[in-house]
Amino acid sequence: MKKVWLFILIIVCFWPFASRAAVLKSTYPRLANYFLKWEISDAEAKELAKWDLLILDMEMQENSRAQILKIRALNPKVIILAYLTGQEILDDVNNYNKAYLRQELNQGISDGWWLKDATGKKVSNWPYTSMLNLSNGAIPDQNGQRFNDYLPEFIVNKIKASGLWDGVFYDNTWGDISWINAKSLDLNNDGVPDSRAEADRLWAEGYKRMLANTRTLAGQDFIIIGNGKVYDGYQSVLNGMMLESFPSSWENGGTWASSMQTYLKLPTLNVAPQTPVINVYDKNQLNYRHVRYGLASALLGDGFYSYDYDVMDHGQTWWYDEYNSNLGVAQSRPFNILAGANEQIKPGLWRRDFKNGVAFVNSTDRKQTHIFYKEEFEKIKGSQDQTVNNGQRINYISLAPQDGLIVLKRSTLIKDAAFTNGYFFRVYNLAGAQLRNGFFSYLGAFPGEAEVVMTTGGQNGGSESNISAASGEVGLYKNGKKVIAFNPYGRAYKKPLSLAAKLDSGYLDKIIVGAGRGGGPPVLVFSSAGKLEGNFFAYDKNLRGGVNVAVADVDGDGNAEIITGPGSGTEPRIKIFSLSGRLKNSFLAYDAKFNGGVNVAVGDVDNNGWAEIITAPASSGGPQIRIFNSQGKALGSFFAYDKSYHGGVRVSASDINDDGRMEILVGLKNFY
Amino acid sequence: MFKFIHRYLRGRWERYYLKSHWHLVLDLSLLLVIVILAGTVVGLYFYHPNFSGIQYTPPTVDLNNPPLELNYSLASSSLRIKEAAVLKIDFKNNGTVAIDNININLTTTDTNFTVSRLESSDQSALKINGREIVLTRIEAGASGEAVLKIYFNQKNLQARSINWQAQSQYIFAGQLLKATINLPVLIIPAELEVKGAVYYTSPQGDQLGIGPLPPIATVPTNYWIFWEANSAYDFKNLVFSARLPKGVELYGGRSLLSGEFNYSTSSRQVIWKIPSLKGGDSSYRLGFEIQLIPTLEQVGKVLPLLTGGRYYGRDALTGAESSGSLQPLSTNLEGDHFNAGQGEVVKP
Repeated sequence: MKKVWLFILIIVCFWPFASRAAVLKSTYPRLANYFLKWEISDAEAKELAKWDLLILDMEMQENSRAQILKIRALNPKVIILAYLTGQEILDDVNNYNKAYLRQELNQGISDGWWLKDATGKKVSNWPYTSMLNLSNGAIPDQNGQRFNDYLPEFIVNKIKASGLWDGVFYDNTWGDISWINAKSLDLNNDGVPDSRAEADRLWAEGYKRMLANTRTLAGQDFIIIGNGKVYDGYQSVLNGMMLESFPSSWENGGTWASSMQTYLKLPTLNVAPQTPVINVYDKNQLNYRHVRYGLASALLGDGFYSYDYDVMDHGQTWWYDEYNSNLGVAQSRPFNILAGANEQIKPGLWRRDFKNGVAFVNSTDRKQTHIFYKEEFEKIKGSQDQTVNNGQRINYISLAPQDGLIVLKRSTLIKDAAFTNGYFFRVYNLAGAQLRNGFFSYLGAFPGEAEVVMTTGGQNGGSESNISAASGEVGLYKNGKKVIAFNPYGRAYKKPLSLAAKLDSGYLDKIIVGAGRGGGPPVLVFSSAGKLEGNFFAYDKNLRGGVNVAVADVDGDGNAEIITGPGSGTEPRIKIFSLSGRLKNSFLAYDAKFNGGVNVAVGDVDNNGWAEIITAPASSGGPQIRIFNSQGKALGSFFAYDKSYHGGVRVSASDINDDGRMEILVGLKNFY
Repeated sequence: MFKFIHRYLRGRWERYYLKSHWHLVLDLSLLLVIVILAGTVVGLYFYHPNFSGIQYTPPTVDLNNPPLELNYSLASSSLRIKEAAVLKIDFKNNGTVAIDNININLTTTDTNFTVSRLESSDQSALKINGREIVLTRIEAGASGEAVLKIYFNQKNLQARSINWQAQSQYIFAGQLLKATINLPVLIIPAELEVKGAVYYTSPQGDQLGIGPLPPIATVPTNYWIFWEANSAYDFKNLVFSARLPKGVELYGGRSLLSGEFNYSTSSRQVIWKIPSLKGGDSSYRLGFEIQLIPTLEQVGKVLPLLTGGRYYGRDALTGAESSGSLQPLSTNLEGDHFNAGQGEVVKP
């Protein structure tokens, strides 16, 4: 028994340091931050947690361990790579504060591992650094090790073992070396300058050995990314390459097409999970065109995108409107609109489709205009470049040379929530910010003004269930066919109904019905097959303003509650009932004197795991939306339409933009 | 008085009656004659005894044929509730004496409507006292007319007919004569309020259309057209129709609160049918999206978006037809206060 407890204790203690298998998120954009400071603050950690892939200097392991853990706590899915230069080290590294790992790395370097020229002088490619000889020509130390053996061991024993990292980012993974000092490099330490070809061959062989050793020692789950001119010979070991300063001048002539060819072919060469990165830098943080051009180019492939200041200063947390766009999964390969949807990489007007949007790149030297005769998109509603990201709906684009554009697909279907057929809906978040353009939610299969619920259960191969309630009748549809119809209040009752559906993973579970305007306040609970399972009076039996219903778990107890708002003629009291009709709580949504009735909806609009209650005046009163928790505490309030509009509004809650969070939908019958 | 009478009688006693009793007899006889004559006059006045050869004809009232004739007529039996009903009163005094102060009261017979106000431009023949009309004097044999404007309050918005009456009263020959006459029923015509508008941006500021504004030749611009029908009263068989001009196509967006929408590709006709419109309900609205792709030849022109608009419907109560034209809609977007005037097609 003691052994078992010991085992558990070991597991618990070392769990945070256990090797983790990084999983790439399936949705786009994938964002990387190349952040090479040696130490970060809590505030920076909080900011950095917004990215999907972080390349942080390895010194943060010692200097900012708590901050890395904070990043992981804030973003459990983040991939964090340790940055180091594999081919060089600072000359006076011991004089640097907080260069603990570099100093430790340096301590283990044997004299025979430095890269020297034929005169025996150390070679330097970057100020204040000396290069290391990664080739097998390096002189082994007393243990018979070369640097290409030592560095992978250091990575595994010092970096990976910390448990903080998902992988390593080797800067300068060049496939050749002769360009540095072509005449006098002496990789094989024979005192004779190597020929260019020999130097390059030795370098590539040695570097590949170093990478292979890293892979062998660190395992398949450990991500290894390189940076620099892409050398095909390394790619079978790597997960990806960074194309720094995209379009990188060293990639086949430095054109957009040459960098894109490389970027798009990398996933076919790399091991999974493939993590190519496009890095664009620009000293002008506000060069939005440059940001877009790089991001849209990155979106043509499956890689990550990073935008920062300069090759000498990668350490910004610049965030752009496009980063907030939730494009979803990719749905097409990139294609050139100007070349008849050809995929051959050359300058053009490129497009790639995603579930929720489209990325366009104009990589030509001319402005390109394209008209969509049968499509429409919506621009991002941003706060930065208002000339581009103004939230407008568009059916054509006009892109400047070397510019990109992210547009969103329109969604005009409210799913898994009741809505009024034919009404015009605006989309809001909890703070009352309008997130997307409004739309008419109308399904021709149902009568105008019917209350409709479209379930998403059928999307995964199940049977689609839709419910409608109008003129006193509730209809249940499967795959477009009405299969059940019943009159909750009898055949003589032809008035409107209020409808709510309790769903289980998108499938219909219970149908809740309230009488609409002109009806009494009984609430009826039906099974998904239309069988009456319960009923109760939510308000005084004599009221004839109807009762509005919604259903969801609003108090986090794991059980759904029925929320009611009264029709006109009484105080605006919201009531929360169990499904069996037991009153759990009630509160006033508006001033007690307001008696125009209250429409209700429920949805998890603050992402806390359970639903909030959303209210709207059903008639008279301004279009003031209020959001409450189950205790009646107001969480938000805003006017959804012009304050002078007193015609009453409807509310619903649905994840209209597919961002995993419910939006508040406010419906208007006539907007004049 | 007594002193005077006493002094007078004493004077006569001393001067005449003491001298001769015949003076006293003569005075008493004269007094008796005076009393008898006075009594006769009073008796005749009150008792109207018939004497042979003498006929007395006092004023009489034939209730089936009263001396005053009052006839009421309406300029129209149809009344828009905010307008006045024009009522003409023809009067004639068939009697031999003048009739004064004839009061006429106009009232409704149910609670759906009330008379709210009376007006008359003719001040000579009548006075208006609140909701009462007073014909001040009609000489014997005289006749005339008075024209009144009568305004009503509608208490029940669904009520369509005003049932009302005139109650008149006057005193003739010492008798109070009253008469109540039902006036012709006034019908509130069922008015159909019809609206057609085109928007790129909704009145609340939401972008509905899509594409360039002003429209660019060869580039599609989408607009939303709305039709709306409202009435305080029920209608049936309401039909809206219009034609899409060449170059304008029906697009995918639609919002139909009631009725049935159809489009004939061959005739390019859009048709909206509402079998039954319930008065007072605001649920009769259709919205549909159209797409315009102007040609290069249309550069500089404002283009029609919907032409030949017509509507037709029947008053559910009276069956009366209500029909009319819908204003043509163009790229100038007259009703769109965000974009009005941006109708001329520009070069690409």
